[in-house]
Amino acid sequence: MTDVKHCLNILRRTPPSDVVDNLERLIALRLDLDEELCQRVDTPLELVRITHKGKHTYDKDTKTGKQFILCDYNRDGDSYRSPWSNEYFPSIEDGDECLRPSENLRKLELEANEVFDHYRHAYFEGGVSSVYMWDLDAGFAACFCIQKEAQGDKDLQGFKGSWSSVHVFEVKNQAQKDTYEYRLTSTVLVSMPLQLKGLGDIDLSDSHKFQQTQTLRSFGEQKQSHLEIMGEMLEDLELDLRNTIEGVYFQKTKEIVNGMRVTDAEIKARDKKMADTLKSAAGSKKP
Amino acid sequence: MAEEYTPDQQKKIAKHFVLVAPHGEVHDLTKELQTKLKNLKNNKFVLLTDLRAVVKGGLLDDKWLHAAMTEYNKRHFEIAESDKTKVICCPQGEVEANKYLNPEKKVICTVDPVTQVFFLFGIRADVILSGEFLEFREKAHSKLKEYLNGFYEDGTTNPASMSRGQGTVYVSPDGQLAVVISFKNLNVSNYWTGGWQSEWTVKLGKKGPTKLEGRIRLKVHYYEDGNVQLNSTFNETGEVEVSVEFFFLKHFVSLSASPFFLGATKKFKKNVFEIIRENDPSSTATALINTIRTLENDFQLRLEKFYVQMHDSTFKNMRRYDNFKKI
Repeated sequence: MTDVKHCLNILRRTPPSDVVDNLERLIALRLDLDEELCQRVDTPLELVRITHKGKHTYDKDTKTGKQFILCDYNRDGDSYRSPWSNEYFPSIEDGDECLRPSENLRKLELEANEVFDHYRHAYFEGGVSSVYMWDLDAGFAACFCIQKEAQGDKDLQGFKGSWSSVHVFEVKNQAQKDTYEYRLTSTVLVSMPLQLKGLGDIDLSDSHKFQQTQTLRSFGEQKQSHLEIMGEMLEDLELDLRNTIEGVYFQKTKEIVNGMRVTDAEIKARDKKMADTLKSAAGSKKP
Repeated sequence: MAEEYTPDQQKKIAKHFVLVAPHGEVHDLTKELQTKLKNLKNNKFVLLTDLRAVVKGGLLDDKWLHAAMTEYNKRHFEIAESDKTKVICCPQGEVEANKYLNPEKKVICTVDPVTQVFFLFGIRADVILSGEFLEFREKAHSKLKEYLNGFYEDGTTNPASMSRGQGTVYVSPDGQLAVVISFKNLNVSNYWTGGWQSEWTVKLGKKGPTKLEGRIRLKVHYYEDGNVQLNSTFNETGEVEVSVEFFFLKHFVSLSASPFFLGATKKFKKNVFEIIRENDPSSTATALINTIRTLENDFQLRLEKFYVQMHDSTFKNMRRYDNFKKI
């Protein structure tokens, strides 16, 4: 097993809501694994907020006035590309040399950002979304990100929930004309630290990565259809993830608690009586 | 390139990962196997294997492990066992480092923090456990047992539960009483673990309503394919009607045993009180355990409600389950 794998094992036993601090601790133990760990560990998404040489601070794309998300896919050194203006912040000398999607792909990227912004608004009513695309040898890749910080109202004081989802598509040309393979990998990070009256400090958090099985589709009108296909796959998977996290994973933690203590002694007594009866029935030999 | 961390700093960071580890995930083996494989078990520590691979230079030696596990056991209310009995590793029962009192069997148990196995150490436990409060302790203990039998899972009824645990009552010679409950629901082969730890203290002595202070801690981990955790700490206060009055008569200064209660933090006092009491302590014991039962039940019911409400409040605040434009 590689040392990075050991690091990931350690991290998997720590609360997902503390992943940033614990990643720093691991790097402190192994400075040599810094880069690899940062690539392998999923941390909550961050919005653009860049201090450059202690002077300029950007908290948005100054050309369009829009916020965007920082990730590995829009980074070049210390600068990040905005999906809205296609510019790097802070700007890079020889900016023409920087990585940008090809002309056709950039058109698709712009369109995807517009569409995804509506999607974000419909499901999240807040937060920030960004889509980044880059060319591959036989196709292209796209990364759809959503970051949302939720605040609690009166009943939920101290609630600072955070949601980060990253959906990465790899779209590859197939031998057959107009046929592509879409491979989707989604990562969701949720943390819900709360202070509730009568419950004290409570933190539910989750970190999950899912892969959608490869899908093969064909179509005629290329650009529109890419978005339609990816959009549908993303919407289905994200909804599925959201409901699984709430309905299965978080409920599982409740079941484990209820497996230690019951709130109604009568039910436990009844079950025990039944179990005992069955046990003695099984034990007694029939003629 | 960031600065190199000193060996001490590295050891401290590694210890942090031990201390925040979920219940039952530092060890790989069942308790039974551990006892059989005493000498082999260091190799079987899951977390330790990972930590030792990451931290080079033999920094995480046996001395480090001993210290880290001593703290881990106390923080997680680990239950150490021998062939004959069990003892809860908790500050309330700590006589000195890794020596814990089992008030029921009247023994002090010396625990190996790494293997969580102990041998009995009977000396002076009988002296510590003397006086009139002891009878009160016995009454409270039997009430606690009834309560635990009724409300805590012991793996006999719920087939989905692997829950095991116990609770006990400690009382110091000056009437400080503590109830400690530790249950663990561990199913490592199905990738989930959980622990419920509660502790309650009350000062006996005066008749009338007396403040009861407590804390309930939960740590649950579900890690099949991912990492889901519930971490919670709840501090609660309640009131117990104390119907027994104790009079302190005189001091003896001849005992050489440490006071077990909060023994780790308080300086060794060589005082024991002779106490005369009025009335029967059993009504106070009943009131105490009933109050704890009510407070713990209320907490758990509120937690249940939170999980239901999550659907319409907290989680929905983050991401809706439906596209609201479609509605």
